[in-house]
Amino acid sequence: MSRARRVSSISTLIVVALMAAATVRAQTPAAEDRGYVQAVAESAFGNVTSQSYGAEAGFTVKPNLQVFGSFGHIGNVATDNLSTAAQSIAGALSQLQLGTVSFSVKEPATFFVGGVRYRFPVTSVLKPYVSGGLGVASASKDTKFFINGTDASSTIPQYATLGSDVSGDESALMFTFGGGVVWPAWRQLILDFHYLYGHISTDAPINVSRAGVGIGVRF
Amino acid sequence: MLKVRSCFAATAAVCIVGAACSKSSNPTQPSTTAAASADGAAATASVTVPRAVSPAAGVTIRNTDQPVTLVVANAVVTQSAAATYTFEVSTDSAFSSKAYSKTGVAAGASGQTSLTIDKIPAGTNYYWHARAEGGGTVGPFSAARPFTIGPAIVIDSATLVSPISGAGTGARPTFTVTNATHSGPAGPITYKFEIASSSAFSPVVVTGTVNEGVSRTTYTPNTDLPPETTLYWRVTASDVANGVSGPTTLPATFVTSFAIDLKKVVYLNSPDVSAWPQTAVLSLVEQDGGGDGPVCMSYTDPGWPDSPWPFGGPDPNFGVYANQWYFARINGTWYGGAGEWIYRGASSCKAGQGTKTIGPDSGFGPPFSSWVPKVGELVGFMVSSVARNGPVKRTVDERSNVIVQPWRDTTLGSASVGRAK
Repeated sequence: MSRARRVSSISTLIVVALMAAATVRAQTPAAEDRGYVQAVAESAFGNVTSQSYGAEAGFTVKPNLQVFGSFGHIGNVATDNLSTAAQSIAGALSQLQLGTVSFSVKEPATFFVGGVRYRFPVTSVLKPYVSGGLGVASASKDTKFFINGTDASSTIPQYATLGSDVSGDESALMFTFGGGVVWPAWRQLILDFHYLYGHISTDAPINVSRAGVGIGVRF
Repeated sequence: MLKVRSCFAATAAVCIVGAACSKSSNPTQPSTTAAASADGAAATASVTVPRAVSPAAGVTIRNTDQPVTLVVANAVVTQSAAATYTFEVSTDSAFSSKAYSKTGVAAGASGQTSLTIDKIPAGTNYYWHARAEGGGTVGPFSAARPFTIGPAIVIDSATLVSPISGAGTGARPTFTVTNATHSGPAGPITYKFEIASSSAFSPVVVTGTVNEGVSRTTYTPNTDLPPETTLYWRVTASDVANGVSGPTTLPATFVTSFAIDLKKVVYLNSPDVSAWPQTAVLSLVEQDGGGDGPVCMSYTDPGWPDSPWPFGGPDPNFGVYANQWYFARINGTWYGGAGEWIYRGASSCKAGQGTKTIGPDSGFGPPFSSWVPKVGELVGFMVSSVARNGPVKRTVDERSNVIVQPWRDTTLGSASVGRAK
């Protein structure tokens, strides 16, 4: 699937999710707020640690229930499988030529998830919630080999054919669940402290946890 | 599998999400052959190039050493996928003119994979390479590695000349063949002579390899052949450099009827000379028991040193340098001993033994001392450096060959022969 097609699919998904949320909202009684939008910054913990950022919007469909859609980018979700495969190839390259071989692996992922957020009915200022979502993620394996410290991308083809275990893009189903608390910091401004566990069903399944904060407004 | 099930489930529930599930796409070096794991969606493996091991680059392989075995160090195939190999041999480095190709060669278990290819035309330069595939990915070919198959050389059989057809010989006959013809750019041709006591050539008594002569090649053993034995000999011509041999000739027979095994001689008043090096060549023995005595032995003088004569005389520097030898088979046993002294400046003919008996003058003792040869009876003759036991000291311990011939006595009917002196 081409990148354009994937973007199209994701865009379609966003639209459909938002339309679905709006439809649900139209059929439910008015809530204490109608929804929120926020920007999110997180630390991502998986096989490696990286950063994640994105945006999220939610709409209240019932007093304690919101639907949301979020998208973001995680800097690196590389798995052990990727590292192990790259290590094997690097070892072989060391046998095939005289230079010193090193390598780097990175697998950034972009995702969109739509889901529901249940807000616990509490009277405190902090509003705890749990959420779960389903969506898609696109992970891109970025493996580089270096010979004597120089990027050997142009010479690799004479030594190895890289399979999809160490190269290429892959889109797959993603689900998340987690929770957090929302703190109405000032007027409509809110801070959302949260933790989310995510699973991406790629060939080599990716598990990544994100902990971070969102800053946004409620309306 | 989880991914597929999840995608299908999600597609049923949220079709768009399902539609967004996609498999890659753009491996950096894609050349995969549609993947193949059980779930049909697993990642394809990465495959490195196998490392060529042998033949070494630029090596020349003798045509006779075909078939050639190609060996590579196994490639790395990630995901623990099973690998198979493709080997190609071509006359050009672009592999547009393949002389041999085989795919699906199972990976060797010892870290190397080898393939013995069919025979390919001789006298040609080739290139070979190999690649691995596994886990849905075809790896790159190794760099083209050149090698050469040496020229085709054909060597025919030599032709036995002599001795053949049961001919009688001495202990060290000279074997002669007409050179084998050959075609192709042959190197130096050598001839392997094998002499055996059976037509199966087991065991082989003597083997010798000599360089090719001009039109004919000869070989003379440097040890005595067993006496009075029917022997077989055959020859194989070879180009050792190119590893080519012609067919071995059919065997021919000869009989060492006039030979004495010096190792089995009973030596009388003389040392065992069987191990003495043969440095003189005895070429003629003239003897007539009916005459006045001389036994004349013609031989090449290798320059054996004099041994002082201890029995006095007019010249205090007088010395002797050799002895005549006689061998007789008495009651089935060969006896031998050193007889007459020979000194330089004198004739090679000695009268002391040339009578009806040959033993009395040399102190041999029985049974030589009373032995009376019969006409036609085989008698052996030899010369050596000073050998006879006694006060005359031995010198270099060297000898000639032995000539065995029938005892002659013209007074008893033997044909008259010329005598050297």
